[in-house]
Amino acid sequence: MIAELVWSYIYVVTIAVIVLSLYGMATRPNLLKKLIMLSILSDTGNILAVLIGVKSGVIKPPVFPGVSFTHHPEAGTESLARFAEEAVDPLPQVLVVTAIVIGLAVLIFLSYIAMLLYRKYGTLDVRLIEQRIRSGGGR
Amino acid sequence: MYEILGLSPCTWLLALFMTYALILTYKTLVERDLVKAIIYSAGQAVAYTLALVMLAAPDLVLAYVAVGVGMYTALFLFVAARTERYEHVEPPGEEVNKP
Repeated sequence: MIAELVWSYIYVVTIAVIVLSLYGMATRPNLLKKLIMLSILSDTGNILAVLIGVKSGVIKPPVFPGVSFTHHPEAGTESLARFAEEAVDPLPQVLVVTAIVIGLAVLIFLSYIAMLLYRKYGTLDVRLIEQRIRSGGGR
Repeated sequence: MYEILGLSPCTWLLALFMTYALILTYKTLVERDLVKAIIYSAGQAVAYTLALVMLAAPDLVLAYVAVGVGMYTALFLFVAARTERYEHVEPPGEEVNKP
């Protein structure tokens, strides 16, 4: 009972962070604030993917049982079954390692665009940028 | 195995760190000073790092603590230093410096 409540609470908090960051991206006019909320959104998506791979109650790293630096046991059926029983799902973790780095590259690209906009229009406020574009050009 | 109310301590700590991340996200959202907002988001990245430790993903911790706490903060501080520090949420008035 308490275990289910706590796991539901963790999922609800994760969804709440996603909703908050989406709200911040939609309503804040400053481009840098939008970028900060976008970074929080992508990180929360990654956390949610890892969280889905965790079976409730089992939190152990996905290390194959019996493997050490010098000893590599044969992967039999029973050892695979034990691995699937007592470790978290390794697939989301493998995907998320790539997603973290790609998110960093996307954010650097967007920051560069924001700095170019500031250089041309003299502000990061999207409403002022729109006004200045409508009134014909730079600052 | 050691348990508190039928759950491992890792799960309780995970709930604690996610709550901490939610609070820091709200502080980031309402903060007008962008440098303070960047520092709050770095604290939120620290909370996510500890949550990844609790989620048994040590390889993700190694990647995320460099990217989330280091690179994001440095990048946003660089952009804030090159552009403007404060955000203005209230609607802008008449354009002062029209060409």
